[in-house]
Amino acid sequence: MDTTFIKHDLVNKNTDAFNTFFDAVFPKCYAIAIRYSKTEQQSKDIAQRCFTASLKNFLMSTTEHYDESAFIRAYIVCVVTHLLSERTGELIADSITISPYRKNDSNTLFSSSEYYKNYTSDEVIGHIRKLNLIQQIIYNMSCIDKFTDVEIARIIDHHPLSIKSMLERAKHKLYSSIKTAI
Amino acid sequence: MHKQLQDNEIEQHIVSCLSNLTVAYPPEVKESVYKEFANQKFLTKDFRISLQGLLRSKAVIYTSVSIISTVILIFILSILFKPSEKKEASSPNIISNQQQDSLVPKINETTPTATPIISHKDTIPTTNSTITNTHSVITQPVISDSTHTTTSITTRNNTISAKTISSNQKDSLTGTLKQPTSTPIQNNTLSKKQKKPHKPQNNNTINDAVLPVLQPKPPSTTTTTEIKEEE
Repeated sequence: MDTTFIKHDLVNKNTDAFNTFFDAVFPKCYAIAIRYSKTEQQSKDIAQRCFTASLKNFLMSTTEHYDESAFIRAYIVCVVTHLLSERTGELIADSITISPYRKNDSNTLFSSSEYYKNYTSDEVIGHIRKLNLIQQIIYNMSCIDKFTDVEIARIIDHHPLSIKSMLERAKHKLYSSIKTAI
Repeated sequence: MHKQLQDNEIEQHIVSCLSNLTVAYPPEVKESVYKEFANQKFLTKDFRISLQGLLRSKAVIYTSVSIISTVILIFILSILFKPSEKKEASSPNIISNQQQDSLVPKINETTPTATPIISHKDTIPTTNSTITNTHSVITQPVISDSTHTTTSITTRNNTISAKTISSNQKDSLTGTLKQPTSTPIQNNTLSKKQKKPHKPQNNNTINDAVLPVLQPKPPSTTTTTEIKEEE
């Protein structure tokens, strides 16, 4: 696919070019919005706003060639900043009381690896949405979208060491919730 | 160890599930996104490239700066010079000053022509003796009384020839400035003579001089009385 041609047509607002670009990119963006948001309606709104914003930034930029990973990373940053701007009265991740880890729970269940492999993505997303917003953002950015601690710290405006500790707490909370569910 | 292995397995499973996740989006979203996209304004590629080329080219910047600076200088100069010309043309005082300036050199040109003629007349001592006194009077009222200077100079220029004035200018100027002690005695006497005609008291003296012409009338009256008595 000639991405330069697509960008030129997108700037000229060609409908066919927009449809091809939208069908190729928007499903991934929508899935990311689902992972980062708390509800389905919020994921729709975030996906629309942040996709249009990142597309505008791409078309206004000087780069002629489309890079999917760069576009997705810019989209994730846009989603995170949008969520943090909308956050009101949200608890900080450090102040959340994490449930104590139960040693004897579900050890037998996870002994068989085939069991949790059948665990669907919707169920995983449901458990991720149980996390705090900051924990959800940090876990998604670090474990799934492969952002570094320094990058996350810049985006969220926290210290990298606190990001690492918050990530450990988010993992502990998520896995414990999954183990208890199973 | 078993717990860590379980956590790692869970993490790998979550990442595998969510990393390449593609969700079927509802068709409503596409329409709304396209509407937002269509309402936005983007700069065209050709215009952006041309704009960047203009901004990057230093020659264009330097030429534009130089053109702007020259235009500003021309504008400032036009503002500075136009009002001065208008003032010179409009104000009559400046023209009169120019006329006076044009007249001053004419006077200076006449004086050198007069001096050689006066040098011939400097040989005559008797006539110049009176003239020098008068001219010393002319010079001092210029310093003392500013009001009477014009009248005295004009009258005496009329009476006295230009030859004598020009000859005495050097003597009077040098004499008055270098020897102020000798001249004031003459000047005092002569200044009183000059000042008297201007004052109203001098007019009284003139009337007194006229009266003797009228005085003979009373004798005439007396003669008439005498004739009446004789009759």
